[in-house]
Amino acid sequence: MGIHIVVCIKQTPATSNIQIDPVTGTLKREGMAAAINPFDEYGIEEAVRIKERLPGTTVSVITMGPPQAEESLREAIARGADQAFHLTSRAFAGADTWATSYTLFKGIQKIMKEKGPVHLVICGKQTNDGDTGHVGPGIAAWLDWPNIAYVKKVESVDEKEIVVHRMMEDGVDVLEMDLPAVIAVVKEINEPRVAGLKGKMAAKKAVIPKWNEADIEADKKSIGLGGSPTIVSKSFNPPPRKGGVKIDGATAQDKAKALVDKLQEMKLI
Amino acid sequence: MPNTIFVTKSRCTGCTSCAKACPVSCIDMVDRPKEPGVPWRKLAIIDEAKCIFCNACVEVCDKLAEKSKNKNVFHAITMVKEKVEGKTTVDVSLYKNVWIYAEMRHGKLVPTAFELLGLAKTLAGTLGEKVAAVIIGKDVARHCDELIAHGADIVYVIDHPTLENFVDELYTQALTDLIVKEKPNKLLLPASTIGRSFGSRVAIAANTGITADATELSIDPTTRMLHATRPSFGGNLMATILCEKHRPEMATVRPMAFPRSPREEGRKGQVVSVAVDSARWKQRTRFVRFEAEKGDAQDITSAEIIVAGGRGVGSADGFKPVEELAKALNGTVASSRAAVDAGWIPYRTQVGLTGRTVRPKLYVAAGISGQIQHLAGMSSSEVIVSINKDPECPLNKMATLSIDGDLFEVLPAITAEINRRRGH
Repeated sequence: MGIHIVVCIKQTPATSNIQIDPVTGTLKREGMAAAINPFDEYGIEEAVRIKERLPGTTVSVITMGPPQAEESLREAIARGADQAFHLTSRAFAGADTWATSYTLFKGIQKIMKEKGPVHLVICGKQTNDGDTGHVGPGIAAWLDWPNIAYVKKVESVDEKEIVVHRMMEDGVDVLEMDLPAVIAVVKEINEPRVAGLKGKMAAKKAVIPKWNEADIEADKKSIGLGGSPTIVSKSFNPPPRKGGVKIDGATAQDKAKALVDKLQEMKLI
Repeated sequence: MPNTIFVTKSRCTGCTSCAKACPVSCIDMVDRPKEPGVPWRKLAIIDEAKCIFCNACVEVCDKLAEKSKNKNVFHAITMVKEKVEGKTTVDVSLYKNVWIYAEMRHGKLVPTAFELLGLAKTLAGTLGEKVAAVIIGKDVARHCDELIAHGADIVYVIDHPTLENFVDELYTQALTDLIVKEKPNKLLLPASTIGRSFGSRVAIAANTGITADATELSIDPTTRMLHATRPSFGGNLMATILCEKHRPEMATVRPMAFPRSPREEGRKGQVVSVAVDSARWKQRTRFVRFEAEKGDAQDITSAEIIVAGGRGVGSADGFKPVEELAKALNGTVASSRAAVDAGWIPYRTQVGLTGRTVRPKLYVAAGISGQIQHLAGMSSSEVIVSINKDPECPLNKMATLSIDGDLFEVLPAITAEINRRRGH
């Protein structure tokens, strides 16, 4: 038995490499390395853990992105995914969350056509460059499948149903959901493994199909920048925060007094 | 023809302005092949696959051309946008009023409802339209008066036993049906777990665009369009998003970014009880139970005062002085990634890129050096206090008030001083 899981990933600038230019206070972009979006790493790991629990499970990975995003798919295979699919075309560029989720939906449909039914789609809770968290629920809307976001634990899963814990502001909601379905996972769900030698070999050998808009039979009016309802009209660097006041004092008590004076002045106490 | 963008080599001076302006970092500065008579050492290359054709680089380069005395340089980037034909557009004049989704949790209104009402009043004022609130749940009609007193002109009540707890699919169907019927002009949701997870689903179902986690919103009085500005790249870049051809324009709004709308006694409004056809709904998700957070810990995203501990705290026990100060300030305890990864404190308290974004009135950081990933989650706090042994650490340098010192001496001293002044 087992199930078929599709993990959606994105190659994004590596967070550890994000640096601020000390002179201008702006983001340094030159030479920013790319990596799998950190939240997607938890998605890949959770899929691989489900595969270990449910023998016969297949883990597919899919991404939409430029040619170099193939590296991230190979990395996912190295970490235990079985196969990968790359949606890549100039026509996909500039997509907002609406067009991105549509394109991934068409890609998942193509996987279903070629590889049989999909039971579960896993996304990271959001990407570290877009920060929206919209694509996972968006894919579910296109597929007309139920979805749960902010999942911090998969309590159980079989061919029919998944039971998950959803991280809320005030605690945890426990929910059951019929499969097929979509979940988006948070960091707390697991600790991603590093790729082993066997995985790295598989990643090297893997043949990764590249699909464009025609391959996935996408409506050309719904992809890329032209298919996106939202547009970025302008972007700017936020005004830098003014450097503050250093509180001096001979002892910790003196410093504490001076600080509490200031906080009282500001009416924060 | 797809979108095209390219750099005219002879006009590029390699000044890097375009690369800095690019919101998606698709411009690389490469070494320029040596040519006789060309003094410039770098050249801008645009990765078309990553470009979102936002025009930011073109504007920057053209501005430099205006200022420059040399007419042969700058004005170096050419962009040609594709014309999408036949894309159906809606008649925007059919869409009226500014709506907010008033989030409910365990039978209570979440305070973001009042923040959104205040914001909606401003936006609706510019448009000359009404403010409407939508509440979804079981036995929720009793909250209508409260929403009207805080600024709603209309309250739509979607009341049904199956809607008692938040389930993405059911809430999406309920709200989408109402949107299709009533045609709101703008729709704001809180950028909370609930708002963010079903807002995007509603946008797809209602065939419209949504902006996530906006912190500044306004209406252009001429075009009547919503300008929603949001931070990306962990707050290092602000982007203003428009949704030109679809309605309603949707946005999730960051909690605490706007003041709560004050209560106005005797304010009048209309209550609309929405008839629901639950037989049509697909019920494939079942709510099982809620497990409350242990202790009286408050949610950090709605806290007005936060005291956060980081690597410098050193251990789980080391959070004691952090907790004591939080108590004295009536605040909430938060943490940095280092403290969470070390297992000293639960993940839900983590502030930063892989944790939560907070915007309190006062953020006290103890033993947190201030890596960019952490700053991304708290740099929009009103007042930042940093206590660190290292006076050169980024947080001490950017804080409103900084103290160089050992947190284990300074924090108890602050707590004692506050308690002394309160007469304890």
